[in-house]
Amino acid sequence: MDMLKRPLADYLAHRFGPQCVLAESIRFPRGSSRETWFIAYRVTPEADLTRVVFRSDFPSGSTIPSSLEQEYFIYERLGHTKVPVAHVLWWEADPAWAARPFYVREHIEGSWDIPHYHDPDPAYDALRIETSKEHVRNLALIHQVDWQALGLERRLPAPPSVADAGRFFIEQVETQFRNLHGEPIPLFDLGAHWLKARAPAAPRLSLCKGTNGMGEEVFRDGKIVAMSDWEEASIGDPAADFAFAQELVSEIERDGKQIWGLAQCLDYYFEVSGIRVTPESVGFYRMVQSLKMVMYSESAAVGVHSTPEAHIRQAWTGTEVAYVGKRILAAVMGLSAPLPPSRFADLNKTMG
Amino acid sequence: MLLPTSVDLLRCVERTLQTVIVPTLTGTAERSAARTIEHMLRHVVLRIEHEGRIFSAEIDLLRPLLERAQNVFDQSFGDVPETAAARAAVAAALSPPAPSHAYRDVASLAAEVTALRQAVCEALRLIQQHEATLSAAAKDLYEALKRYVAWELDNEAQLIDPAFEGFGARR
Repeated sequence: MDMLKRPLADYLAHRFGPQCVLAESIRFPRGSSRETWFIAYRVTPEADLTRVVFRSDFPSGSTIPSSLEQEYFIYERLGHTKVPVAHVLWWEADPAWAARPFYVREHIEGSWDIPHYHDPDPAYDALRIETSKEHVRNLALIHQVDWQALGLERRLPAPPSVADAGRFFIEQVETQFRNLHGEPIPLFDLGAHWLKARAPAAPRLSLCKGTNGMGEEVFRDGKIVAMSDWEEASIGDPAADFAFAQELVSEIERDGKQIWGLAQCLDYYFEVSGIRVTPESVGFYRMVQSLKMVMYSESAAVGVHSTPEAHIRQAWTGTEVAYVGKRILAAVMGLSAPLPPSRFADLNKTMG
Repeated sequence: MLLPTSVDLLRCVERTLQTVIVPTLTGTAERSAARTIEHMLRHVVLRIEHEGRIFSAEIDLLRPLLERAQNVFDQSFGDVPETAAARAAVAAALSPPAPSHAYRDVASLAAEVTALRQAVCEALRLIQQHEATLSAAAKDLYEALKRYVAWELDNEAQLIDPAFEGFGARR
């Protein structure tokens, strides 16, 4: 755990007293933006096991150019709402211990994996649909958070109006890209301009999660018990969260009839939230995803250029992921042929 | 020393990683990192083999394109501050003399490509500011710049696709 200057066991003893015993430390093998560690300890040898999560930037910074401190802030604020999140426990920036700042949050029992969700057997369609509905219900919860009362706009810039939401989102991505001081990418400039010219108005301005869906949320007994990875949170069009949802807005077709998919998700979302999101707006934010991909892969490239301590995964993000993002963005604008879906799917394969 | 070449060495490193190191790894994080390293080694081989040629071709394409952009700026966008700024940026990128026979390392070529790409960005910004009222020459330039962007992406494909496609999980 190179986020610490001294051994983890010593740090836990520093926090909880000399009898504290480290039981386990496991690095979360997924995650390309920040480091996540699952830690278990006992305050005394006889005490119950306590499980927590340590979260830090990579030594070369985060791939997503929002601060770790902002992520901590969002978690802390959402801890005062009905949105299921792990409560943050403490922030650590003491130079005597922290090689770089990190924070600690409670560990919520559950799993990112949903057994049989990917089993093509139609017997699991009901599971897929109910899981999707559960996710939609939680997105609705997030989108109805009173972000002004929570003071979220202190860290998350808000568009001046619903009419400006789409354009504002692109401008935020552009600002993040410029702040990297990386290489000039003419395709990025072309893409941002093209997208701004097509940006839709939002039905309302909501807190949006950013990356969401499979791999981001913690499930237990079919229910979401914790929503994680808030580093891409923003204030804007709820449509963005449907565009960035991973797998949980799946299209299911049986006997030539579509029994679930984006249209049904959006209808169900309207039913539970009263917010009407259009498929067209979701389509727009799906295109925006490629611009974001170019931006955050450049962030990774800059990180690798800045220090040899960068994570090897950032080197990959700064090379192949950057290229794939550019390909998708170019295809969106009609500058090149679309990539086959299999190519994008390859990017998400892991060693398990 | 001519042999082994840098590429020979990297391929040897890749093979050793696959046959000696990887079989001993048991943790997911370690196996994942090793797999990503294998992809990166193949990618670096391609960069050693092709990057210099690709950068040279890009310089050869962009210099005349940006000289054309300067003429279009003068004819189409008048003497307003944005035009002057874009013109200055393009002129700065074009100012280093194009060496014809001196040896150039990849870093020097990359630095020139970076400056030229920055000038392309400035040219695009100026054109987009006037998009509603572009002259025929400016429209042609805009399309030529878009074609360059697609061409550059095809070049990047040569450094990426053969290193990653068909080689399994990335991480």
